[in-house]
Amino acid sequence: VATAEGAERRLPGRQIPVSQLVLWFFGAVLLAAVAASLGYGLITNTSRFIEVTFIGITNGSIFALVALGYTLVYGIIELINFAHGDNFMIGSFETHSIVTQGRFELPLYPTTFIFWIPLGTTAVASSSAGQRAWTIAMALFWSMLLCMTINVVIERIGYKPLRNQPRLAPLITAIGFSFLLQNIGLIWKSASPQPVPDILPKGNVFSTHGVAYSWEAFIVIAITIPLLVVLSWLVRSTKAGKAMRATAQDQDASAMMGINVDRTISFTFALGGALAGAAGTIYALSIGNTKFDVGFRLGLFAFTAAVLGGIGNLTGAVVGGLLLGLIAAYNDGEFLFSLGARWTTTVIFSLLILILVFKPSGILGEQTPEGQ
Amino acid sequence: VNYRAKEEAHLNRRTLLSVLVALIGAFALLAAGCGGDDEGGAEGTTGGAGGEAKTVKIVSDLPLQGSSADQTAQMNDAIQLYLEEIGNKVGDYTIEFEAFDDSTAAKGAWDEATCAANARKYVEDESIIGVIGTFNSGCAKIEVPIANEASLAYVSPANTATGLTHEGPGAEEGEPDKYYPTGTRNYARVVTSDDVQGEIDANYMKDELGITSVFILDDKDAYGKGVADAFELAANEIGLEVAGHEGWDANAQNYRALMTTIKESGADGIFIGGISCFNGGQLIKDKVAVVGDNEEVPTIVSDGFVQVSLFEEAGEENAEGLYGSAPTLNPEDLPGAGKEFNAKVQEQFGPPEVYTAYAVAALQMILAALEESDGTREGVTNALAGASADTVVGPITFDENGDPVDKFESIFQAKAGSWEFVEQVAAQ
Repeated sequence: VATAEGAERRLPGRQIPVSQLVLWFFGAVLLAAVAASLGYGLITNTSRFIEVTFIGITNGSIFALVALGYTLVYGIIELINFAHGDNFMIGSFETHSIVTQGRFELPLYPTTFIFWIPLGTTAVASSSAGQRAWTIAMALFWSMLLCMTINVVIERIGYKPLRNQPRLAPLITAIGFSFLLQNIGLIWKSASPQPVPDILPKGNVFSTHGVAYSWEAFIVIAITIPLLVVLSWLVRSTKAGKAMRATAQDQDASAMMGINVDRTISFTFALGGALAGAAGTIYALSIGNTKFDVGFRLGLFAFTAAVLGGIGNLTGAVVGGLLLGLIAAYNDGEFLFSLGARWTTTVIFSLLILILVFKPSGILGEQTPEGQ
Repeated sequence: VNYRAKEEAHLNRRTLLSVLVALIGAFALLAAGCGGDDEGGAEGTTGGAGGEAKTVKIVSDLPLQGSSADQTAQMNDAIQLYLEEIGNKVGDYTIEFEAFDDSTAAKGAWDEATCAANARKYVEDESIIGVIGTFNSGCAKIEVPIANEASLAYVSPANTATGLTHEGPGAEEGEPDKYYPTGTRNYARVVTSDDVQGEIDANYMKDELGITSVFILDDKDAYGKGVADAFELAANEIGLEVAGHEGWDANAQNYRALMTTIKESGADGIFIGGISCFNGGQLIKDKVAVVGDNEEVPTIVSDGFVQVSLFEEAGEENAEGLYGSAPTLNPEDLPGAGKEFNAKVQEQFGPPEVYTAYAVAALQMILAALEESDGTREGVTNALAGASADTVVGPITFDENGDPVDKFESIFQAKAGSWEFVEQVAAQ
């Protein structure tokens, strides 16, 4: 589809309208201004610029992890899984339980009955390095497992029966599940922020010329990058990945070729859920605070990141997430025309609108697996 | 060319975009919500038994659900306790009391629609001659104009927004006149307003803490921005350099980049205006991590942060040393009657909350106005300006705007998980 579209655009006789040219001109001017503003910051205040860049990359990595979940599911069944952000929140809550209570919790009937498995993983900032590492590993494992299960169950109950219905139907159930999960979180741990002890390693990886890079920020990246590598290997080089790509292209034909479509879709949701769980753990540990509504807020930003990068495109989700994190950090750090933190959300969404006006398919293009 | 596929792809993109826009809208609406647990508050009625005396009704309008639930429930309990003590009688009047709730469970805080509906309810019930409320300034801005048309008197135990009663730093365009469409004031409060808080905090920062350059942060909300603007104005007047003034986004995941801006500005002090449930814990955490601890870079927070819950949200070690101001007396400095009353509250309802005594003081001010009046709504409203009573928090007299004549703030400091009283500062 992608190539056919490109060819059609260049058919002789079809001219680019003047209004489009004017729009392009202004877009180019604006981009140049942004680049100049950032360049000025880099030259005049190098060390702080780099420090802010690190902050942006760290925050952006979390956006990227959540964005990947949106984009994976969209790529295969063209559904925006709005419950994904709240699934991420459940992951961060599970991490909170594992770190502070030392047990895996499953809120079956939240206020009166919580099923739990003792793990002995309670840790605080002063615990031994071994204990903290074990707690982090356990938190990552159990959160990923829980979110994976939730995502698969949601797909089976809420999306599968609606697979051949108009697209709006599963979209509405997705929004429904989003509120459901949010309320489970609300009853599970109440509406107040849940502080998570700071158990990530302290100190700096390196510190030169006034630029410090903390272990805390490094660990966010150190967990994110391997996850990304494994994910792209799964989708590109494994049999399951091949089945995913085939299913995305044509479900009926895939079924005729002997691919178990249901299982493939479940597998995709499991992958997405695992990413949400990992993001939840990383968020809870690095930010040190979580709340029942962080999923809605962060989910929206991550979804924006996915659209920004080109929804359905795995690399695009990462690019979009990092870009969003960087824009926010640069603006908070007053490197974008000295606008300051008061305008951060405005700046992010203005840029989103601009990018979509000029490139509706996102930065890297809407590249569902069928286009790869 | 596969036209159908193209069209469909196009359609998807449009659906996608419209959903995105709709969600951003929903996000903006939801963002106003504020944390807290969902404990319902007490509602109750104290009936009057008087025969020949005229029976009038006084109601309270407080957020009984959400983060302030414990405090507001105790305020209602204290009001009922006081009414029982005076036998539900003042002069020739028998007093009935009913508690109303201006919050919703979903929001866990005051709610615009509920506030408006409550005010209409009071206006319709002819027996109501006075309202103790509201707790939040934003809610008062909705209720007071509605009640103004019916000359129904409000006395707030906790509203601090400047613009409710007078022009000045922190007040918006057209305030306070837009809240009083009839031209007659029907509102007063027993606590000092934010313009004075900003001024006192600026002076305290310069003179007592020895700060030369301050960075100001606000939560972008009416109250927070109001008190921060008042602080900035006062700082400029007294020659305290303002290194910058920024707003923080309650929905951001962290504020580290913003804090590098503050560090860069070279400010040696920070003022924070706002309420702590707008992600205030994270803000304090990142401030300490990036800019330095509260001894190195002293920080004053406005009364919206002076809550025990801050210690859990920010971590005790990060909050340690914070200064906070609040328009309430040190419990130790209450007059004899107030101490006695607080002791009863302690015995029956647990440790007295900050605004409990002020709820009773608001009731006493309404009763004082009622005694002066002919028992009608208009009478009470007219008696409000200049009303004076010896309340549980000491003598209070309202000026022509409805503010207390004696204006002061108490300075508190965070120490090992509690707010310790430092000193009381009177307005200049």
